[in-house]
This record gives sequence, structure tokens and C-alpha cells, in this order.
Amino acid sequence: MRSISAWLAAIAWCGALCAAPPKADSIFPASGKPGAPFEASIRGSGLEGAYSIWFEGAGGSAKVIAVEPEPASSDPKRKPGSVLRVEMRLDESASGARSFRVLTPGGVSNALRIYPHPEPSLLETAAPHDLPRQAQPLPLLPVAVQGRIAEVGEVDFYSFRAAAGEELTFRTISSEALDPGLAIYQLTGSWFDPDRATRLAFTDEPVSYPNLSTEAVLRYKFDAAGEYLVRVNGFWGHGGAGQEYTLRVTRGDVERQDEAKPREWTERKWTRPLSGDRMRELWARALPSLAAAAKPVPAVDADAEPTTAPVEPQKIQLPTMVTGAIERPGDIDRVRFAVKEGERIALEVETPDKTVPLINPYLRVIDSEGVEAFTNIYSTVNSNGNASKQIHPKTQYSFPRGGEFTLEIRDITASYGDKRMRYKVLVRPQAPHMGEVKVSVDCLNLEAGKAQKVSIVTDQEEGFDGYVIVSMEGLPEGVRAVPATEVDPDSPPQPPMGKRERFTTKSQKATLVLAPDASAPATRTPAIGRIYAQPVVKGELGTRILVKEIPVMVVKGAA
Amino acid sequence: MSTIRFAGGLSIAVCCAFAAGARIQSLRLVPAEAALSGKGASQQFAAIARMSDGTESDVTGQASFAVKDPAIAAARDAGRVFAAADGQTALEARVDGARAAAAIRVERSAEAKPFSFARDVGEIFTRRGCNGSRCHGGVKGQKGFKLSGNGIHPRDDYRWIVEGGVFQVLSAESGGPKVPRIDKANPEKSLLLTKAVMEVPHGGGRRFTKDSDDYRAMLDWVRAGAPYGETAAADASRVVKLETFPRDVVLPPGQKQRILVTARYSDGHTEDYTHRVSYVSNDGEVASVSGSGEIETKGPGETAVLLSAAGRSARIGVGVIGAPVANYPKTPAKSFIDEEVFAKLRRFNIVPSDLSGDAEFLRRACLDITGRIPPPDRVTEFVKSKNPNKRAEAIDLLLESPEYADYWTFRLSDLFRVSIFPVGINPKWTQDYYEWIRDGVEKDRPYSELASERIAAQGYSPASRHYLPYLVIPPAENMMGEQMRVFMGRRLDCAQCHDHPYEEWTQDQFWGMTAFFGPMFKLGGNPDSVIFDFPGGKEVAPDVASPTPLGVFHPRTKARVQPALLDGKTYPFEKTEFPRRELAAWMTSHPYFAEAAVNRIWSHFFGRGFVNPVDDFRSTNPPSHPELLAKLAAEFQRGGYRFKHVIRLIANSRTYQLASTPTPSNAVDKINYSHALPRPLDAEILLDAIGDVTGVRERFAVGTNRGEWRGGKTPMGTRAVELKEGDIYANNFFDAYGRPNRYSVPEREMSPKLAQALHLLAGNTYNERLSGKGSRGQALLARKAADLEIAAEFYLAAFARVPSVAEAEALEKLMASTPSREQAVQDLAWAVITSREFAENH
Repeated sequence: MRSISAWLAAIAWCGALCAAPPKADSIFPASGKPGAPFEASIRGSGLEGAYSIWFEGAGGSAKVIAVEPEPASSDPKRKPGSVLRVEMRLDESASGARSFRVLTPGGVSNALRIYPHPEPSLLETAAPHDLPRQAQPLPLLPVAVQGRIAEVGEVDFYSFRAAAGEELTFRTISSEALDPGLAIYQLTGSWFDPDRATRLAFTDEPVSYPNLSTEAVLRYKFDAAGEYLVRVNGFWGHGGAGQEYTLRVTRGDVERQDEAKPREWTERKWTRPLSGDRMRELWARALPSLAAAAKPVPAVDADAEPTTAPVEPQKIQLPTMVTGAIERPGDIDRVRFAVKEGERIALEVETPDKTVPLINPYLRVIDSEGVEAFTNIYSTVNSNGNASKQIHPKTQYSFPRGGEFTLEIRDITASYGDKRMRYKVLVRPQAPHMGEVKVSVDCLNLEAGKAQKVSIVTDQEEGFDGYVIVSMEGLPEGVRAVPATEVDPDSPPQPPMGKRERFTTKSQKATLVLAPDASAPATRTPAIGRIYAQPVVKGELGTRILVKEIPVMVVKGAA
Repeated sequence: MSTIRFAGGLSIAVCCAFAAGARIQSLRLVPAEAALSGKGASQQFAAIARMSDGTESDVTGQASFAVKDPAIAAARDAGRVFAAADGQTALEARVDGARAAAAIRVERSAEAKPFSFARDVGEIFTRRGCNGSRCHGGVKGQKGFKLSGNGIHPRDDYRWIVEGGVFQVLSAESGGPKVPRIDKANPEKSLLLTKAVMEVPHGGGRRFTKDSDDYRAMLDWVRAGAPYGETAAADASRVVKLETFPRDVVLPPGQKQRILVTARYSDGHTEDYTHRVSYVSNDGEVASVSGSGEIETKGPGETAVLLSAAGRSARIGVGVIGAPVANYPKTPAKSFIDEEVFAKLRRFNIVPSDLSGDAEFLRRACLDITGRIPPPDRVTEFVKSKNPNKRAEAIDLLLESPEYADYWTFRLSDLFRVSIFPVGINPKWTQDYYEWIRDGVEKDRPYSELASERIAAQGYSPASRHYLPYLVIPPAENMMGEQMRVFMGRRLDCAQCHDHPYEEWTQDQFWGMTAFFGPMFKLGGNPDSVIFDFPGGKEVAPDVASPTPLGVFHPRTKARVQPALLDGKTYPFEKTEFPRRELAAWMTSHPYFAEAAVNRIWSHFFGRGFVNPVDDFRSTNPPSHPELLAKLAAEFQRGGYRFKHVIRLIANSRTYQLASTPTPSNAVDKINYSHALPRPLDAEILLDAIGDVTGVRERFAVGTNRGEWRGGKTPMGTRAVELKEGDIYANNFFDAYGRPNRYSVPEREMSPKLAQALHLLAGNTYNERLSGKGSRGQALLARKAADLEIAAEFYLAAFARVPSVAEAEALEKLMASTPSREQAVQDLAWAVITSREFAENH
């Protein structure tokens, strides 16, 4: 009876999930040593029938071993998925994180990353090592420990020896589900408790700011030779399926894992690079002729000015890249510039070393009388009626009258400053151009005869009033991409938006419909669909810009 | 007369009761001379006898009074003289053959004082308690009728009565329909009168009767058209101070003391106010006070009698001493702490308890310094040690232990409000804030530095997180009020709406201090906001063409308030880059700061601060040991504002190490540190102690007691004091035993609750530990320990002592009579961990 039930359950599991598009949640181990094959488990849903692992570009290869149902979770709310076991090998020739997807009869999955590490791998043991006395030994350093916070509230202790004066770096690589913390201990005992471990150092990114890494890195110099412990934990005691990590312990520093460089153009991020070529880059997103005419942006060092008032700030011409640092609490750097009535300028800020909220550049433009013209603080009223304020990395302004103005650059607080709080502020005339282009999908699994839409949103920066042509190429056989219209949903009324024209951009949405013929053959490997955007200014065609590449497959529909 | 230093810091002349058998040697009258000016003027006298034992005693009640020339003045009641005609005469008092006289001069006896609303009507409100802070003098008044506290703003009071209108907090304007409280056409129907005599329902009850002088005075006033009366010049001469005789008193129980009150006016003249003030005793069990100003002592202790009139207040300290002790023992003093404490005990005839035993000391010190009970083997080791310095060495060891850092981080996390709201939302800042506190504790960083960083916190710094209890910046007045309470031990809140009724704080001062927090704002969305102060105090506002002034506006004047310290120094926004930093520097260097800090620390070790509550310093709530408080504060400052220095001083004092067993003379003493008072353990400490004794620890899960689990648990072995913010964990034990709400200035609710009793009987905290895997009981059974050995280990683990002979006999009998040995051990463990001795630090 039990045997029949198991079969029925297995069939039901397969039947329910066979047609679902694949979704990969995590991989264990989260990293691998290049050149050495290793077995990995990919957890997710819709992975049944997986037949291949598809690396984006060079980076690795993998062979599917088996797909199994995921064991039931201790969390009753969590629906178990499936586990794909593969044998993986990372290429030695490539560098940085490798991106891969799972191919199944249901199509191509989302991308997961796996990181290379040069150290020998060590698997976490099954024996409990939640307590300092139970720590799993790390016999040799350097090492990359492949572990998992398998249970809620679990912590993993590892023990190692360090020499006097030795400096070690501990760095985690983890799945998105795990926000790891690291701490170093020594088993010192105490008057109360002979098993007491004294914490020597710890780290957890204190900032949970959007887009900042949650990975933990800890560099520690050991004063005395001896046995020490390192502890890995999940923030606030989370744990369970998908909470995998690699703990790299190395002598000296561990190089950062190279993230794949985003191909997308970013317009309003604190860390986007602002170079002397910025004007050409901006105009290139309008017309080639304008880009060709653009000159390199000169730079001035705002810290070169004497800081003791009253000293006349340096005068700059537009455009100019103002560089400097908030060197001490309350430091204010200043430059002067002249504008004509109606002149439109843009201020762009890059914070190359730190970002908001650890550095908060406050830009303030005042006229010759000391009256404030504008700042980079955007004030709005939220739906609760409360004022909300944000500082922005880009601010646009149109001067109602001409004259000489002073730009003040400081941190919004009066409490922080050091030489590492660097900034670049580009003061420039506005350059109407096509800004960021956002694509709604990451991959496409098309069924023959069934259309799917792709939404493409283009930002039109600084008064750009041209058109943007969008197109898609590289599609599988029998699939066409055609423009389409759709009904815009009603928008709820917005609270007062303040001076949005200074801080936000206008955008337009285009829709492409991917229409596979009914006879379009199913594909075994993805085609690379390339989406282009091409600005058009006063009838003149701009450069066609590759916006995004996405894998596209044609799959068999459900029977 | 003897001189006794008294709570409140005053070195004063006091009146003492004469000992049984003492005779009156001489008599004097207070005041020695009096000038009665105006029609109906009066003066209250007190007769003070010098006794044969050298003490002085108030004998006003026993004395007979007579005026030499009855045509000039008349003596009525007990020592009260009324003007009759201009001239000079004398008042004579006699008691038991002793005589005393006082000169009396009467002037302008036919000249009635011009009517004054403040004096002739306003004082009735004060005397009858109508304008007290719990009645119409409260912030919002009562039922829409507001009076200024103790009549401090008579013109406002007049307007509310004559014109009507509903009082509005924080606004000088009235709200609602304006219905006068008097009826000039039908004076007897005036609400002011009908309410006071309860002809119409009145929440405050009957304040006087129709045949009283006060009723007649008010009725006459309404009949006269309800004038305000005072001229501008008279209005300008206001009472600036109330002076009392005596300033403080020390008496045995069952004695009486007449109070004399003199009002000093701004133009320099004085008037007898003895019968024009309102008297209230802070503690009626120690002393009561009559409406005419006669104190009657009840039981040993200290209290204060508060008196108020004409918008002013004063206090008289009352000490009720024990019976004289024959052969008062000499108690050795180890430090200035002991000198101060023991000297006061001597003055109050209270004998301190003996020095505590080693085990008692060790348990107490461990709990107070580290929040842990000592392990059994450590207790045995300590008790056996012959080292004469073992107590001092143990204190040093505890102070340097990692458990000290755990515990004082927990304590400061309470005070500094490490919290998350709402539970489950991105709480990283909480961890960061907690770690900032822990780092400060581990390194014993100067408390002044921590305070400065917290007060002036900006950016995304750990210390700035407390400014976002609900993810938004609280009102500036709340932030200021909290910093004052936490770091200066003062509550300015009353002055938010009006000048403080009993203190010197004015509304202007309140808003001046609040203005330091006015330019605060936050950047970004929740929960990762950056705290900042708009430079120059001007903000960029939505949809406003130019920056607008940001900050605090005075509720009465509507004017923008510039930051101003309590001492009046201002920091205009235009000239001050970061006003809050200036405030932090001022606060942490002010004497209040050190006083408030050591008072908190002292309170932790004794269960009661010199000032209690610890954040309620005020002239009407004076310290019990002012000199000691000042010396400790000076030591704190001298030691670089480091906690360990003060803790070491306190823990090494004999005062701290006194036994909890009382002596006959100190059994009822709760405030003079004559013996150790049992203090209930905080919920976290108790829970950890239960884990230590039973050997089974709690696992904490993020969530609520309604079963909403939020997906996180603490690592195995985590103690309750190590929880970064106890709020987020579902725990019935915490709920029953109290955990502070960290969204506002935390206060622990320590009173016993029914839920605790139920939890003792059926709660999982107790029962699961008794039978839990790996428990102490199981281990003892596994090694086949004898019954008495088991009992001794549980006793050592829980109480830091072995059972007494009687206890051992009883336990042995009980355990032997229980059929199941496992059950017997569980019963023993349950009895131990549910006992009062275990749940208290003593």
C-alpha cells in the first residue's frame, strides 16, 4: 500500500510540474574550483526533465545526473520543489562569476551564478557544529568551505589555527536567500562557563540598503598563535532550504568576485562611472553627429581650494568635472560658474568608493546674494501626508535668470568626513538623450502558436523629444517580433510630486509581441534574442544601441 | 536646637520632639516680630520650646496666646493674630510656665486692599485644590474648563472664567463655544459656584459649602460684576517665592509641627501666607498635613510636604525617626559611601544590618554585575577561600568578565531603546545599534562619549537609529524630552504646555531646548533612512519656491524658537552649523549628567536611587543622600565617566555588602540603605537563571505569542540577555514577567501579576525545563547522586547556599516519600525555581 502511494505521489509531482517553466532558486555549492569537476545541486521548481546546463558565454560546463523531489521542509508554509544534481566544471580560462541557466522541456530557466575560487574545497560535515566545542576543523588554509544554514537558527562553527601576527581574510559567497554574518571567536572559557567563546571580531553588513551586497567580509590579524573559531550564521536566525554559502578563508586579502559588468546604461545611480567622456556618451544616445562634436570634460579639484573662508571659490566653465572628497565633518567644497537666463544645466554625482547611505552628497546652488536656487534634495508628500525627502545623484535645473552662482558640495550630515568620501560632480549643460531602457523579461519560453509580449520602457532624459525605435533580432526559427499596442491601466491618483522635473525623467513604453508560428519547431538550446533601441531626433536616425540579450526558446505546449 | 542634614541637601535648623521626661526650659515665638498691614491682615505664629535635653519642639498647639493690647490686635485660633487698629503691641504665649513674646505692629488697619482677582479669587482655587495638576490645573483642564497651575497665570484664568471657551493644548486661543463660567445676571446660578457646591454634578466633588467664606467671596465677586481688579502696578508685584518655617523637620512618630509660610513679593514686601496655601503630603503614611498647615508624623521614613499658592510652590522635608537606640553600634566605613550612609542612619536612629555572608555577597554581586547566578562550584570555592581580599578580587573578576559586557549591554539596550518596528522589517540597523552599545560596554568607553554620540547622532550611524522608533522622526519635543530624562534625569514635559507647576522650568525653556531637534529630518525611504539636520535650519519643502524655515514654533507665541539651553545660552541657526552637537556637549558636561548617571547605577545596585524614579530629579523630589550623590557624581567625572569605576566603588562598599536580614531598627527602612532589599529579577535574568539551574536553555523564535512565526530563531545557547531586542521574540515568560516597551523611554513593570502565578504552575518555561533533555536533574540521576547531594546542588545552583539542617531533613523526607525518584527530583527543581528566594536578588 505504501509503495503504491509513493508511486502515485511521484506521478502527481511529475504531472503537476512537467509543463511548468523552470525556475532555479539556488545552487550548492555556491562556488567551485576551476578545472576540477564537482557535483552540485540546483534547487528550484519545474526542473523535471532537465537535460542541460547552459552557460552564458564561456565559463563552464555541466552534465545532468538526476532530478529528485526536494525533501520536505521544516517550514510548513514552504512548498517543496525539486533538486537537480549535476556534475559541473568551471573553465580555468574564464574569470569572475559564471552565469548559467537550466534547460528543461519547459524551456530555459532564470540565471544563477556560480563563483570560482582557487582554494581547495571542503564540505561542511553532517555532524552538528552549532556550538563552539563542536566546531568542524579546517585542517589546512586556505580553504573554501561549502556549507549550508540548513535549519532555522542554525550557526556553523569551524576551527582553525592561526600563527602569531597572521592576517586572514574570511569572505562569504552565498545564495540570495542567505544574508550571512561572520564572527571570529576564541575558546577562552569564563568564570561562569568553561565553554564560553569570546568574540574577537564580527561583521555583517550593517546596511540593508537596496542594491548593496549582503556578503560578509572579515579581515583579521591574530595577535597570538592558537586555535580560533569562525562562525557563519544567517541574519536573524533564518535558515532552511536554499541558504547555501561558501566560506573562503585565505591568507592576506581575497580578491573580490568579479561581477559581470552590467551592459545596461545607468543614468541615476550613485556608483555609475562619470568620465571625461561623459558628454560624448550622452550625446551618443541622441545623435552621432552631436557625439562627435563633444569635447572631453575638463576636471578641477575642489579640494585644492583653501578651505578657510572667505576665499573666492574656483570658477569653472560648463561642462566641468568637479572632483574632491568630504575630507572632514562639515567640509564644504565650492565652485563658481556663470549661466545665462533660461540656461538649463544638469548636476550629476558619482560616489566611487561609498554610496548612500554611507555618504550623502548634498549639492546646493546659491546665487551671488546667497539665496538658494536649488539643491539635489527631492521633497514630496507621501500618501500618508508626510513629507518625504531623498537626495538624488542627478538634478536638472533651468535658471529663470542669469548670473553667477556657487555650487556647494558637502555631506548632508555635519558628522562625517574623511579622504575616502570621494565624489565627482559633473556640472554640465543639459543634453537631451535617450536614457535607461528597461526590458520586462529575463528569458522567454515560447509555445508554438502562442504570442508573448515584451515591454520596453525608455527614459527620455533632459527634455529628449525624439522617438525611440525598438527592435529584436536573433530569434529562433518561426518566431517574429512585431510592435503592438496595449491598453494602459488606470493609474491611481498621485500625491503631490513636488519638483519632479528636476529629479525624474519622462518615460515611454513600447510593446513587442513575440509571435511563434504554430509550426515553429521546439528548440533544444536557447537562441540569443537581442533587443535594440535607436533614437530618432528631428527625423535623423541615431545609433542602434544593443539594450539586452535574452535567451529565447520554443517549447512544446502542454498536451 | 540641633543641626541635622536632611534629604534635599539643606543643612538646616530643625525642630525635634523632646524626649520623654524632658522639660521646657525656654520658649520663643516665630516670627519674633510681625507687621500687619491692611484691613483684616493676619499673622500665624509658632511657639517653639527649648527642652531640657537640648532639643526644640513645636508647642503651638499646647500654648495659650494673648495680645497685650486687644484694641490693636486679636489672637484667635492657635497663635493667629488679626489686625484691629493701627499701633504697636505684643503677643504673649505661655506653656507650662514658660513665656515668650513677639512684637506686633499694625498699620493702615482701616484700609482695605483693592480687589485682586489673583488674590481674592485665584487663591481660593489654589486652596481648594481646583487648579491642581490633577484637576483644572492639569494640561487640558477638566471638562473643557482650564485653570493655570496654582494660579500662575491669573489673567488667563480670568478669561477662561468670564469669557468661557474650551482650553486648547499648545494654543493660546480658546476653542469651542464660549460659555462663561459665571452668570452676572443670576450670580447664584454661576457654574463656578453651582459646581463647587455640587448643586450640579461635579467630577471634583464638593469643594466648599454655601455658608463658607470662600463661597461668599466668589458670590460677592460675581455680584460686583466680576472685575479683574488689580491695577497694572499691583499686577506687576507678584509673589516670587514662598518661604517656610521650618524648612525641614525631623520628628519621632505621633508628633505635630506647625508650618509658617511667608510670601515674598517682587517688590520686596512679604505677607503671611500660612492660611492661603494648599498643602499636600507626598507620603501620608509617613506624615500627614492639615489644610491649615499642621504636620502630623505617622511612621518612620521620609517624605515632603508640598505647598503651593500664587503660582509658586515650596517643599518641606519631613523625616520621621525611629526610637533612640541604646549602645548604637559603631559600623566601620570602607569609603565615603559608607561614611555618608552610616552617618545618616545614625542620625535617624537606624542600625545597619551586619555584613552579608560570603555566599550572599557572591550571589548578589554576580547578579548585579553580570546578571548571572554563580555556578555551584564557584560558590563553594569562594566560601572556602581564606583570602581577605576575595570580595574585591571577585568584583574585579566580574567586571572584567565577558558576562559583564553581555549584561550591561542588555541594560543599556533597554535604556537606549534598541528596538525594531515593525517586527520583521529589514532590521539590520538594530543589530548595528546594539553592537555600538556593546562595543562601548566592552571597552568601558566614557558614558559621556556614548551619550554625546547618541544625542548628536546623524547619518546612518548606529546611534542615530533610536531617532526612528516608528520609522519616522518623532516630534522634536519628544526627542528632547527623552534625552533629558535619559541623560539628565529631568522631566521637562510639564513645561511643554505651561510653566512647570512645581519647578523652575518655563515653557520658553522647554521649547528652546526642543528647538535643537527642530531641523532634524530623514532622507530616503524606510527603513534605511539617513538622519540629518537641515543646515541653517531651513528645509527644501515640496512645492515651495524657496527654502522655508524649519524647526520649532512656540505654541503660544507662534514664533519660531531658536535653540536655547536651560541656562539661556542661544544657538541661532544662522550661526550654528549643527546645534545638536552643541547641545550634546552641554548636556554631557553639565553636573546633572553625572548625577543622573550615578543615580541610575546606584539604583541598579540597591533597587532604589537617591532620587526615585531615577529620571525624576526635581526640587520637590530631592535626593535621599544629596552629599553622597554629589560625591559619587564627582567620582564618576574624575574616573572619566566610566561605569566600571563607579560600580567598583559601590560594590566594594560595606553599604552594598550589608546583609539582607534586617535589624529591629531597620526592618521598615526602605530608603536609607540600612540593609539589602530583595529585588525581583528582570524577566530575562530570571529566565536565564532558570536555564542555568535546570540545565535546559530557552530557544527564542522571532514572532508573536499569537503564533505568527517570522522565520528566525536564535542560535543554540543564546541567553535572554544576549537578545538584541527582546521585543521581536514570541515568549510567554517575557510577557508574564514584563519586558519594557522600547518604543518610548522604557520602564519595566515589575509588579507581580496573576499571569506569573499561572505560569509558575502551568507555564512551559518551568515545566519543560524540569523534564528537558540534558537537564541537571537527569544528570544527577544518571550519576546516581544521593537525595541530599541532589538537593544541595540545586540549592547551590539557585540560592548559592546549601540547605539548612531543617531544610535538608524536610527535603530528604519529601524525596523519600515520592514514589518516583525522577518525579521527586523534578518536584525539587520546580520548588527551587519557583521560590521567592530564587526569583529575587537579595
